[in-house]
Amino acid sequence: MDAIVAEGLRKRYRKTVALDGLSFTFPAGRVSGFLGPNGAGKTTTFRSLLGLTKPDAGSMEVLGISVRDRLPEIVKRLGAIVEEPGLVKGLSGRDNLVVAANTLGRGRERVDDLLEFSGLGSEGGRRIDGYSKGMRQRLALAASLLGDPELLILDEPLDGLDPAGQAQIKDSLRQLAGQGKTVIVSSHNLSDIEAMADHVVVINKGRLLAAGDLASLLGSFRSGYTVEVDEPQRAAAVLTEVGIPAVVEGDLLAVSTDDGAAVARALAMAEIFPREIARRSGRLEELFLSLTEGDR
Amino acid sequence: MTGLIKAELTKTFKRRTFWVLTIVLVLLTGFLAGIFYLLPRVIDDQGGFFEIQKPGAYIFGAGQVMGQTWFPLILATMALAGELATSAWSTTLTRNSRRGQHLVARLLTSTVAAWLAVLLAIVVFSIATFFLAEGSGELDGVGWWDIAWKALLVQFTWVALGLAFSAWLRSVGPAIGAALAFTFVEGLLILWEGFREVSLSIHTSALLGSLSVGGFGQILGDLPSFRRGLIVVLAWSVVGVLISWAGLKLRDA
Repeated sequence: MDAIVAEGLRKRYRKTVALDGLSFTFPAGRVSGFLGPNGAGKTTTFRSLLGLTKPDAGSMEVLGISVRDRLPEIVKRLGAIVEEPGLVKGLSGRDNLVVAANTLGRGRERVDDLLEFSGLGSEGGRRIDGYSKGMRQRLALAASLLGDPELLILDEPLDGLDPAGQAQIKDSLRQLAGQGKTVIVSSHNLSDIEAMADHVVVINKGRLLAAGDLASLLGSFRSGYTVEVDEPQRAAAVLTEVGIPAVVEGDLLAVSTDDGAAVARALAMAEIFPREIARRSGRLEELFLSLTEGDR
Repeated sequence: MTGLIKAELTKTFKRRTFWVLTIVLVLLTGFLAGIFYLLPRVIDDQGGFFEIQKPGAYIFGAGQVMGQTWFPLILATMALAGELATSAWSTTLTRNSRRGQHLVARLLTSTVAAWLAVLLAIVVFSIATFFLAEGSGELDGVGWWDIAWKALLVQFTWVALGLAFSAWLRSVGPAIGAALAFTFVEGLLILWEGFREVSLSIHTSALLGSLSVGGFGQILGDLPSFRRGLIVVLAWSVVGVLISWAGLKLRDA
């Protein structure tokens, strides 16, 4: 079952086309990544799904319910952080959760548990004006969980956090995914998405570029190796001759194949002995860059 | 709706802004009372200007407090523009589906908060009146009740206008600036006879009867009747609410 189905979304802000016939699905009960460069339309998509902006055309169903016709029903069943967390300055962390609970028509019973869950139990009485960005982000995540939602939509939840803050949020999201919740996360940090998500949707300029299981998308994408040799130009020629695409990148050789043994064998036969053959890291990053390359 | 009102109550009473504003209002009220009751004692030639006697002095004092329209305007602006200027409003998931309820919750909460603060200030002015004003006689229960409900209506009207400026200008500074400029211009426009027919300040005075007390109303000619004052003040309230709703509806993305 799909938690979200969007068909032909279009949205224009004056001369800027934010969404250009965008269609996608997010499966239920999994952690999905929503990727795209800055200005790709991710936040506009999230805002549309949450009823915070109206697309000019297209249809959206969240949890099987039409966003246009029955938004209040959807709001009760999801939690979200969009853009900057909408916290109220001058109030404590606990009071912010109470305000959020009351605004959403939800009970206050979970406030203390969620403060503990977000690691803010001992800080709940402090005004949020003194919170770090990571603490605010964790408080916003706690607020989004007030109604024990089936679906979480999180726009750049790791943005601007230090490594410790990122690790805390990632741990929290993994816990939630373990409870069977549907979590959709957008992020610029592709290695984070790779570590958390098992499904991705990639968009750019308001259009869908790719969508599907992360494993199968990466499997279909030719990844490769970085080879450190003394004569990169000659090594590139040798590999190209045996049908393995290779290009010189500075002092290194970038090789596009999954067969590392073939690379080693071809170079050895030409009496070129690499100092190192390493799998290129950030495979999702490569996939992302190759998908968005033509659009940039 | 109950939840939204609870949320607004928390935001209003658990932040410092309301309490700081209330302290300023009370101090200002004490200062005004000092000017009205103590200054004439040290100035010999007062020209009869300050001859306000009890029990009318209580109504006059209430009128002075209710004339502090900056209080409900700033309170309303903080309640709405403070959120519109940040992501608090734009990311409220119930914003579009419950826009009217959000507006009503802020209208009611800010009105009640402003009313409580104004009542406190009226009490302060009345204590000064009790001890310092000339004349004898006190207001009866009906007189105090009149002051209380009229104060509530006047705060409601100014809160509605404050929300209207906030809904359109969407930023605390410009909204407060425009709202205060409005009170200033509105006060100036009463010099124009045509505007007096709809002037909020003149009809508020007519509602309270505060300007009649010291004979100040003669400066402006005949004051409107109580009934007309009530209708015009209510009309300004409705205008404020409608403009607020339209501003939120039309300016939300």
